[in-house]
Amino acid sequence: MARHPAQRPPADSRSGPKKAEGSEIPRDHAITRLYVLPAGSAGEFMAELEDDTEEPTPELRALLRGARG
Amino acid sequence: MEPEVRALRRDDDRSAFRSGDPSLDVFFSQYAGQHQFKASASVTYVVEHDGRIGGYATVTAACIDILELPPEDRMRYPYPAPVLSLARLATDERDRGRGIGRRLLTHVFVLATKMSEELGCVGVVVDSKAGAVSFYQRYGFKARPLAEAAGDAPTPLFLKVGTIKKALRGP
Repeated sequence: MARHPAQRPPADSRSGPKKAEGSEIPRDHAITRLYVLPAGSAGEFMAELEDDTEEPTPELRALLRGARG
Repeated sequence: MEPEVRALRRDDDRSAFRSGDPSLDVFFSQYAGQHQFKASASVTYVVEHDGRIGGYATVTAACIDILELPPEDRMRYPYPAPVLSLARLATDERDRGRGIGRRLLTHVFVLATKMSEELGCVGVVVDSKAGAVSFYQRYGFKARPLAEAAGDAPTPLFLKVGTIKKALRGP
């Protein structure tokens, strides 16, 4: 599968000096800010977003009942 | 009375938090503040109970992009699509059953609707741990062929903001 430009190379191909201890957040505790969909999904995903026939689950309705303004 | 949700403060004592998942506890005690106060990269919301923090949710603005999207399609589609990422959600094991997780999730959904109205947001993505997938699916989250761009996170789940708004509007 093709990589997005932001995707990291495999761990074993990283090179360069290690940064000082504590200077960066460990991988396990990083926060994801970029997700990618496979090539060819652009239209399908957009159609799903524009489809307004999906109904909330009963649990979602119940959860948000008290938040209705 | 509904427990109050507020943003994490620098002077909150995070050391006593025990969710039962060491990874979530270490994140909260050591890195949530770093992400929020040093990097301004996320915000962690908390609920207090009995004078200590009973649960937290960490959110950040994120986006969904398409691999190798042709330039002409970049003009046609609004990619990267903005989303709210629920990066972490945990409750203290001493406070289970008090509705703290539900209260935090409600807050996240309301944030997503505000984000959609004020700067754009197509939905909420959650990087669910395997054991929590069924919890999120109850609220309508679905697995998508999404990959976390940097590599090896759990399969993300997605819920579009239109469905959240519909639930907020009521029957």
